Amino acid sequence: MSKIKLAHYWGAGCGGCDVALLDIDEKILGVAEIADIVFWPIAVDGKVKDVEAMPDKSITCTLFNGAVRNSENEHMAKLLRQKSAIVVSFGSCACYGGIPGLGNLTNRKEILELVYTKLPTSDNVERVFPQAETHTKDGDLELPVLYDTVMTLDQVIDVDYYMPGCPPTTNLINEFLGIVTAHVKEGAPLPPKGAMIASQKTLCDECKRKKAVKKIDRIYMPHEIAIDPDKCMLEQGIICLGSSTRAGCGAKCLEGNQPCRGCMGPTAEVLDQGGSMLSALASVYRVEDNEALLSEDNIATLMAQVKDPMGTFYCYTLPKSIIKRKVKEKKQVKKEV
Amino acid sequence: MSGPILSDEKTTSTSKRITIDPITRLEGHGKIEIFLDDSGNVANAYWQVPELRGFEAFCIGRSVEDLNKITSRLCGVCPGAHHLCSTKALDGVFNATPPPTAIKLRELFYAAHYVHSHIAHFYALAAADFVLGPCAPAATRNILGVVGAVGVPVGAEVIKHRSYAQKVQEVIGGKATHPVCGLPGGMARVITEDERKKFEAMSKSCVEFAKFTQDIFANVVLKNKDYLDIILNKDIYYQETYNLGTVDKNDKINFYDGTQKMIDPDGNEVARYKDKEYTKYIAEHVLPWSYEKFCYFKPVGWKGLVAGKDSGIYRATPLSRLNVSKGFTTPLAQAEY
Amino acid sequence: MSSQQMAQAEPKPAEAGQFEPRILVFCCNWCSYAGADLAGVSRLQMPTNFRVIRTMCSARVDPEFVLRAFASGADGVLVLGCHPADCHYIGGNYRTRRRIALLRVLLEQYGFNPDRLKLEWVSASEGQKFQKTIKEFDAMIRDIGVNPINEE
Repeated sequence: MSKIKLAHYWGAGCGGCDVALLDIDEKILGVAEIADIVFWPIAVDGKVKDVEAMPDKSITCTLFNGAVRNSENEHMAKLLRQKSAIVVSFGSCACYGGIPGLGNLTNRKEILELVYTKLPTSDNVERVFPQAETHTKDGDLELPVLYDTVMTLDQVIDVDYYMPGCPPTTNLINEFLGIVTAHVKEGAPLPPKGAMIASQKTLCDECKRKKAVKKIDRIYMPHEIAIDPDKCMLEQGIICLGSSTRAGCGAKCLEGNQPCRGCMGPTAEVLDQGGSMLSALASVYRVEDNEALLSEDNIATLMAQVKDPMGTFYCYTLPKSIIKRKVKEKKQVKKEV
Repeated sequence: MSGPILSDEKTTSTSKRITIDPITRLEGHGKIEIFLDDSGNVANAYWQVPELRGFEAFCIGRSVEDLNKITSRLCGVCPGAHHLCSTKALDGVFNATPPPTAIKLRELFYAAHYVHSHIAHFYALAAADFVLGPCAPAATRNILGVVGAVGVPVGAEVIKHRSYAQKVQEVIGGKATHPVCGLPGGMARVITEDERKKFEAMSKSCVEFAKFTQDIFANVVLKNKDYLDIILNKDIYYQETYNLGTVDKNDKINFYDGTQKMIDPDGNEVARYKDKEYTKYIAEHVLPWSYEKFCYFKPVGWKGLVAGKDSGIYRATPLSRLNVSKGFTTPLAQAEY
Repeated sequence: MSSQQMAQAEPKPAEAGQFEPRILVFCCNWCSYAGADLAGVSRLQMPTNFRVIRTMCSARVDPEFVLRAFASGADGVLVLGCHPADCHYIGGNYRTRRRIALLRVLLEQYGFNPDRLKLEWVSASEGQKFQKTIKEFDAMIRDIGVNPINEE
């Protein structure tokens, strides 16, 4: 049996997805039995020019982690798509934008201004910024162009499978490798295109905590109360995205006695994870006896307990949300002081 | 096991420029442009970082309590370090001193993180260079090649102990990669006596494994004169710079807390400060050909990309940690110091 | 909203250069839709640049609907429901009230003027209030200007 070819690449990611592949422990040796890893910058010495020299579709499967945030990410995504038979959108950043996707709340200009000139440690009175091309005495140097908007992998290339998670858990990776191995060794069929390598249910289904009646009076930050490790997080007044998030991660954050922040993204039925959670949270507030007498201001004050709805509800999915990024009104709103 | 391959057939570059893209076996994106002179020697080289995600910008507006979960995504290989660093900043923001148990849990968590990170670096990322050698065929220079060279039983030990370290982090932190345990003034979860016993057994095994690793390093590198001639060659691997590291009140190495100590290239202490005073000592210079900024020791100033006492360039690395300190607080590490 | 509905929601061609807002109005089946109906049969005059979508309850208006409306280019979204204590389903309108309050904060974080989304109570007998609400909202949206998504 000839070995298949695997690649694992990172766009705008952190390397955690790469570590996740190492976390399958001794099973990595099983991968080596069926596959040659032809490109994996964090662990293997292949170069971009090696990939460029490969015949089209010659890589059996590329796992692509990280979002698409600059021209290099986009170029590599397209190159690997051309060279690969199967592309897996690997991890929350590739699937939904992930934490780097929060960059869609700002833009290229704001990021560059802040990072290079406005920080307390900035030393840049000359206002030097990274350039796409720099002429030096030795020769010309190039850098990728930073984009205004962070994109998911499937907004740039065609994707065959999705494996969410920040990072994807060992179980999900093993599940997928099992599918690939069975396909290689026994000719077992691959999942239908577009399949999500994760559970089809919501995280609450997987969470072991006891759920009773979801009615809360106020919201607490996780450090403000002693969290009961056996009781539903949301019922304790802590915003937990479990009800709007896809299962498959094993509810690990809940095991760590902290709420779910939604890295697995929404279930298939939901387009907008943030909108779904916003709706759920607004609905679990207890209705007061004097509800009819409350003014809109009263309600606005109550809901203002959610300090940062955007960062809370769209922590991992902003580029995949319905609105996708921050917009700019022509006419600026005058804030009341 | 044969020794590392230290030289290969000399080839002549027909080009005046060598591009290494991407750099590999390291977390993060990077490329190196090397320019050659007419006689084929290196005239100049540029190490470029082609990525920027803009954390500085999108952290603005987020709930401060969420920042230790967001900033851990700076790096998925060392998320524990970023998570704890940010958690300590939260302690400061809330003016909350963690109880002794929480501090011990954080130290345990960080020790486990350290074991995972150093095993990953030593065996998965760096070992290919000293076990297989820098001139070994590129396709073998990776963890699978290393396992092939040292044998599966040793490979299994490597995998087992890294797995132990990940397990300890996962129990305390919910997830090993991108933990959720740090809270302002404390930790999210306690460990049970049963877990403590398991941790103790795993830790003891990890200490034995560290001794084993020390022997490998001594045998493969320190006893190999040809290798030492390369890595101790002052023309290649030697730069005199300032060094920065964290020390305790006895000037011993501490990984969790202490003061920052800066020494000049001659080893003299030139600064000692608490974390929150860093803006007095550290500044960042910008060059147009890299998204990475160039940190320097502010009192000396930015004098360009040059080494020496008159240049503010400094190291903050495992090596500099050794350079600034007067040793370790644990006996086995101290014996090797 | 189906593409057919979207096409129907297209405003009448405005005079060159003049901003003609596109407004979407969600009406609950039991109160507000009847209120709108009353305004209609009473021949109350009001701008015509709005389109109504009837839902059984204002609480049926998923935040997703509102976000999709803005993403599709709506300049303003009105959600109309039964007065407090009058909800046909006892507490649906209370849920709506909370969602809209939170959604307005979210829209502001997205960079929108939050006043592009408004909640109002209109009962079956309040044809005049329906007319007033539409007129005022239309005037406000004209003042706020075009949805920035349409300008990109």
